Amino acid sequence: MRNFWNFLLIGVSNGLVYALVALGIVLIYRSTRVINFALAAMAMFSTYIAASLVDRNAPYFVAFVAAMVFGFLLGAVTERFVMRPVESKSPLNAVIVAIGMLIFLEAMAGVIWGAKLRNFPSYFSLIGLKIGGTRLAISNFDLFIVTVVVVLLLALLVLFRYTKLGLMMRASAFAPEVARLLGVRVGRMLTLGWGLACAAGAVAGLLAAPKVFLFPNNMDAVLIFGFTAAIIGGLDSPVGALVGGLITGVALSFIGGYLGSDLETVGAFVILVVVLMARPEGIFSSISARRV
Amino acid sequence: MLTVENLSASYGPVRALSEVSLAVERSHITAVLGANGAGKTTLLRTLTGLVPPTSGKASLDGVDFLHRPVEEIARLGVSHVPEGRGVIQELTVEENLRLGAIWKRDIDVQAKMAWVYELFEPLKPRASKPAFTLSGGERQMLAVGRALMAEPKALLLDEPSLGLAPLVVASIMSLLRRLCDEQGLSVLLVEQNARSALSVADDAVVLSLGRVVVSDAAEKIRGDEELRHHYLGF
Amino acid sequence: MQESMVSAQPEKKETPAVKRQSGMRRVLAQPLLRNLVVGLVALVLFYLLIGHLGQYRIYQLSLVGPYVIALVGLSVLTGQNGQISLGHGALMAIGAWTLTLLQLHTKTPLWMMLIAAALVTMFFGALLGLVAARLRGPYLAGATLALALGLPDITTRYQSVFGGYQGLEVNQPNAPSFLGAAATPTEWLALIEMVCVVVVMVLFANLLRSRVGRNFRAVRDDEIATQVSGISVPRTQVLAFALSAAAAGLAGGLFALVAGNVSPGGFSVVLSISLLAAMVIGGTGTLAGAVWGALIMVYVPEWATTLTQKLNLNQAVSANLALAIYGFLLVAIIMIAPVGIQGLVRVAIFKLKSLRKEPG
Repeated sequence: MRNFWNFLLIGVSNGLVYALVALGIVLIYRSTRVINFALAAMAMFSTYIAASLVDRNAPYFVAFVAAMVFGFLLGAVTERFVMRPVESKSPLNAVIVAIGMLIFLEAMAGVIWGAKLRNFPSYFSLIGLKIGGTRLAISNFDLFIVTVVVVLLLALLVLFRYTKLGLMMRASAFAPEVARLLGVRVGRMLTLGWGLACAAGAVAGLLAAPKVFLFPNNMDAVLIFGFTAAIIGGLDSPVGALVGGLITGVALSFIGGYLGSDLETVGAFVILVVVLMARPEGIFSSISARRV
Repeated sequence: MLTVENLSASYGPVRALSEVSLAVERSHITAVLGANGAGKTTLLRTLTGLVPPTSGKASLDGVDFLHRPVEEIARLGVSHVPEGRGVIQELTVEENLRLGAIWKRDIDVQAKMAWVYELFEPLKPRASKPAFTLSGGERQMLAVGRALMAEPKALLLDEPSLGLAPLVVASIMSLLRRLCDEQGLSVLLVEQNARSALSVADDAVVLSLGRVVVSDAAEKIRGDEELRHHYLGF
Repeated sequence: MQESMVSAQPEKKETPAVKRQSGMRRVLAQPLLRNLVVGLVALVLFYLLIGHLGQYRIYQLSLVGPYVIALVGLSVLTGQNGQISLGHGALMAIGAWTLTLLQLHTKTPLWMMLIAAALVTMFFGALLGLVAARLRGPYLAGATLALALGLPDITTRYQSVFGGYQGLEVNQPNAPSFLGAAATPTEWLALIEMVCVVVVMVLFANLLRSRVGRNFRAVRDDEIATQVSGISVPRTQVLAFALSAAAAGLAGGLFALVAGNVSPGGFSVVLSISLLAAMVIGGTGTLAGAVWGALIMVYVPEWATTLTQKLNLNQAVSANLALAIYGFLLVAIIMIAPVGIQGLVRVAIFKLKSLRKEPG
């Protein structure tokens, strides 16, 4: 029984990281209909930036914020100068460009920082918490993950629900042409959306790195789990991303815990097929059905 | 005053608009009539920058605006209510209205919204409902109300009567007339439903294959039986 | 999307007027025969070419073959039938292990092992197709990508069967005596591959011209209209997936022979992703595009590596720099040629033809 609770807690903690990646995918997908495979590399690159700042004795939180800012800029620049020229042609082309960027950034990280595995410092202890006499599988760092993700999700919720900027971003995502006719500078909103998505990716990278270590393609599997989460959630719903992330995280944690960690990736495929057979457009996607 | 001079546009090799000229004074409604594929919608889309023009000029109160980006044309005061009403279904009624004036800084949004709710009373109780729950007529009201939020100088309406019951059409048309007079709007009214458009318009142009074939006072076109038969089908 | 290069040929060529023409012309007018003739000519040219190349060049060329076959399958699935797959690397893996396990445990002749690789993969492809028929666009991309990530891990889970991280060794077949005593296994393998490429190309070219091919395109262009006209959309989609998988399985089998071993590292997600990228860059939906894509997959990284090695950097840096160049080129090619290389070629041919017509 203790195993069960431990697997559940680990699953939630991992699931929140997947949820962040899923959120990054959803934010971009719903506004530009592009699956941004480069998100893995962008998250990794931002994490390396934080790691080199920490190496130079910068405080952890300064490095954390710097990585977010870097992620934001990387996403924004990518949208404005790389994706926008190809987006209009065909969604498949944009996906290939994202794949090209993934390969490019991962290779450049290898050139700059070396392809070796390295540690990434976690500000909080990774050792399991003790409650009563029993040691749990979750640590202070897991609590930090929960806090960061919850704060970030609330911030995004406030942004989208209660600000003018958020309203303009949603309008640009749902109906870009109408938004432009109403005087919304849709191009800027898309750039901003990519920036936010990649900043979320950077945070996911920072939160994943202490557990999966840091190397140029350390986020590839995390990206695919995040993509799985986004699809389960329905691809254009931020709430779906959170729910999908938790489902994916917990399910994989149970599969890994009870059946062996080498079956986690197969598990992701099985979960995806099971969910999609029941709901081919994910759990929270009902918008497309509503459109006449 | 909205002025269009020799405006042409094409989709690839297909010429969709040829040398269209017209002028809409303040507090005037000009109806744009013609059969399907005559270029009515293209005219509006070209004016608001959605279709790139090949040549010509368009200006609002003397300010040339063609060739500017879509959003900047909107900010100049040209409001386009696209065909199919263009409300954003996922957003609530209130969010749609807010969006109408979202770029305006010197405006009391609450007061403006209250005014729109007064004009279109059925919208008020639905303020926090998503727009996809509205009926066709309510969506049209929302689209027009949203366009009015930004205090436009020119209002371009694409088929506002499409799919609406005759009574609803009549009330929308008479409201349009009132708004036009009160707000000093220049209204360009694209309509398939020539009869109801001519009932409120001051002037009318008839498009055929992208060209202006008739341009006259609405009253005269209403009275010209041959012309009505030939181009307007009533 | 683009018409296939084959279907773009007007079908009205089989008119009585053609029959009066010379024998060769008549043969060329029949699509099946024309494709066969072109294939045989290519085969002979390839055989002559091999005689003039060093062993390493031949080895490189034989890397192209499996990719061509896999890309033909992927391109038909995506370009002609409108289904995306990010899991063709996993399908290749199924073919590769099928061949390897047959070689390890039985004495099956080579040609039967290759067919078995195709058939076994086709079976799994049909299963995947059943799932795929319910999914669209990015949902399908995600499901197939998860397969690409998961499948290699099965080989490490069941080490005793599949060999684990190390994988399994594959013996390369010796050249038969009729090629002469000097013929090496490398040369023999290159020839086998070329035969497979020609067979697959001819089969798919004819398939695309047939009713099946038209159904593929009908489903791609408008599912509802197709269903209404009495063609089963799901059945067509499953068939497309199965046939595409058969090509991927054959490609995987050949790949195992060329590489001399199969291991999970050789069939990672990167392979699946690279296949999709190569398909788009070559020209989605065209058979010629598959050849361009395969050439790019083999020769661009090779060229980039040679380039970076000249810079005298340390080994790791130069390898990564080569990869970075590859990634950069992917982006650049899509920006310059959004319709793929075959699209550029077609535009060029069209321009040449209209130039020639003008004076006459």
